[in-house]
Amino acid sequence: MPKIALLSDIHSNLEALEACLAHATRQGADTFAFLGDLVGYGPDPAATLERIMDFASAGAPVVLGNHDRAVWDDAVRLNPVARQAILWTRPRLTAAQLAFLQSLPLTHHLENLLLVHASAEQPEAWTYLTRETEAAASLAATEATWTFAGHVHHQLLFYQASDLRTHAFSPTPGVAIPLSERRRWVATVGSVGQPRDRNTAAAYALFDAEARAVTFHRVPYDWGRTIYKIYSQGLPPALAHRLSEGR
Amino acid sequence: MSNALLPGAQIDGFTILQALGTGSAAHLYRVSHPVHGEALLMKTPRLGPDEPAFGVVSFETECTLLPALRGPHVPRFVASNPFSPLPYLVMELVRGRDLKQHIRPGGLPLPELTELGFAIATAAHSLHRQDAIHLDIKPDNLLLREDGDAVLIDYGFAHHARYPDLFQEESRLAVGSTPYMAPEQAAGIRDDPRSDQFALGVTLYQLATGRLPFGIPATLAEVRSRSWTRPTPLRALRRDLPPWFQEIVFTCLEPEPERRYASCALVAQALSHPDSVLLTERATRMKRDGWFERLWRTWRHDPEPAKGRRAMPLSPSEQAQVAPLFMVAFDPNEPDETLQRALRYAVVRILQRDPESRLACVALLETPADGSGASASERQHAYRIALHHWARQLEIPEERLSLHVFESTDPAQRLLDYARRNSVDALIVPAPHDAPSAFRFNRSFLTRLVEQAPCSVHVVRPPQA
Repeated sequence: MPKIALLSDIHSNLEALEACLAHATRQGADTFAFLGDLVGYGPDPAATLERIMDFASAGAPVVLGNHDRAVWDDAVRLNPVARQAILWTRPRLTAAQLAFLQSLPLTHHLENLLLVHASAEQPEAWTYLTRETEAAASLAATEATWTFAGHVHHQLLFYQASDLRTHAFSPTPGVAIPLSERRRWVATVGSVGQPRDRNTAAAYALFDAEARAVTFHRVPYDWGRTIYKIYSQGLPPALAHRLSEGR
Repeated sequence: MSNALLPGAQIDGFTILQALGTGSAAHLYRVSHPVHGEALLMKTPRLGPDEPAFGVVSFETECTLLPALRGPHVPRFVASNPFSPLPYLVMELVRGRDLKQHIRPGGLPLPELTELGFAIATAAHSLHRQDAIHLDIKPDNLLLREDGDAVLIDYGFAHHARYPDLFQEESRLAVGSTPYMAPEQAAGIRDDPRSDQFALGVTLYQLATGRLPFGIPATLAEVRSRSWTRPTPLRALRRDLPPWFQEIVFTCLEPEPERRYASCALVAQALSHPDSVLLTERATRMKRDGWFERLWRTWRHDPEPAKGRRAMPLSPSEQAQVAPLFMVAFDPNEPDETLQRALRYAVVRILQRDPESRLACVALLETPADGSGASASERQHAYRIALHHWARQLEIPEERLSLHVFESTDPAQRLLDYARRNSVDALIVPAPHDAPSAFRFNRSFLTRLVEQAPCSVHVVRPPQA
């Protein structure tokens, strides 16, 4: 797995997923990993899952997100709009697709690399890695050199500096950042299907295992098309609006 | 010598030729490679239980930053393998004079001081424009190439806005060399390019007098004391130095970054255009502060200026362009008034965007091939008057403006050299036209500028009817 594309929080946004897959392929990605929240919010749950299941049957790692779990587990807490979108999603999935979601693990190890949707510390608690303290707790819960996560919809890189404490770094898209094995790292790769940093472009990251470097990417996609589907299929209009503003 | 290598040893195709000594954090070797060449420098970190812990971090930092940096002021990156059991970093072995050799008790003569200051400021500015800050500028880390360019070496303590900063020691252990360190750096701030300007000021002071302005502090508290202790005026030690030189050095040494020059390009410009330096109280100081003044300053200063300070809102490259230098080159005797006006509008619009921007106005003049007519100085004088008249109508303050007449058989080359030497941010020229003026902005001239300029080129055309 020299070059692994890390895609998270796709949220049934097929246009954004296809744009990121095409971009990663042009960048030389040979492995695709999906970090959870494959569905929810967006208008294309079945087609999105179909695409990801094809990757999974070819061996691609896929982990479970809180929205994926909410499809079959009412105990998962979600905000009202997210809940509405999940209720809309349920009848649109086939039995095989539902079974696929139910089969997903919470974490996946690839050699020295840990893939998880939220945090390595109690993955099922769905903790957001937004601050240094949460990232430090995630680091403490795993031996892996590199942890890649999603859930927060922002691109951030946490690392242990010379003071042995955990620090946050806001990456510049397109710059390859070496991640030395002499320290440990946690990255949140951003959201493919619902970016929230006032930038509408889809977000993902590419890890080059040979060079030990991560590049965060932003990929423009046709969100006008996604919005049209959200409006026309009776999903909450707020979900369309936020895509057009990236929030 | 925990993990030193012997001559003849091979690592990934590199042959160790000679040990060049041991730095604070690394062993240095001259190495060769069948493809990369003979004159190479290899660094290997000092590893082992007795070695300093910051060695590994600074090695890692340099391995990340060096491949990202370009230009003549940085040793060219060749190869690195930070992950192997025997990690190494290979770069160009810069052939040049060591700046340390220039430190002598009486100090250097003024022309050499300004030349060195210009070279170091230009090197620092080039780094800042690439979003990096050296944070350890001192004579030990400066080499001079044969053509006079300064090279900054050792990026082990440097900061780069696009990579995570591994040095996060806060104030417990500031990183860098304490005699040269800016007070804000001693407080753990690592994202202000003006910290390099402070170190440049200390270096210039040392080159001018042979003395360190703040001595050699033993503790960080002593480093912080430079926030209120003012060094002995240069002119008290060397009467022959002009006030403008002291003004420049003491502006660099201002304890608050906001009171230093906005960029190192401005330091370089001040050193190369002493007439443009505005003299203040800094230039006139002749005596060391007395005990009363020192006591007053100690009492008055803000004990923790870094507290409550937010991270720099601008990246180093943005900060370096806060005071951009634009250059307009044209023929001030151009008879086409609509073109003259269009050029003036374009210049004013560009200058308005950055209130601290500066403008170099250049009149271009081709040396007549037959040597006939007025003498060169008469010709240039006439152009200077026309240029001054044109620039006056821009209505910008004099300190933002400089006027130049370039007479040459190859005016394009003169322009390109000036732009390169002065780190010009954009060049503004008129579009090609066929007016019967003494100097023609013809197509081949413009093509050459656009192809070879080290910056953007704006081509101005009057609105077409």
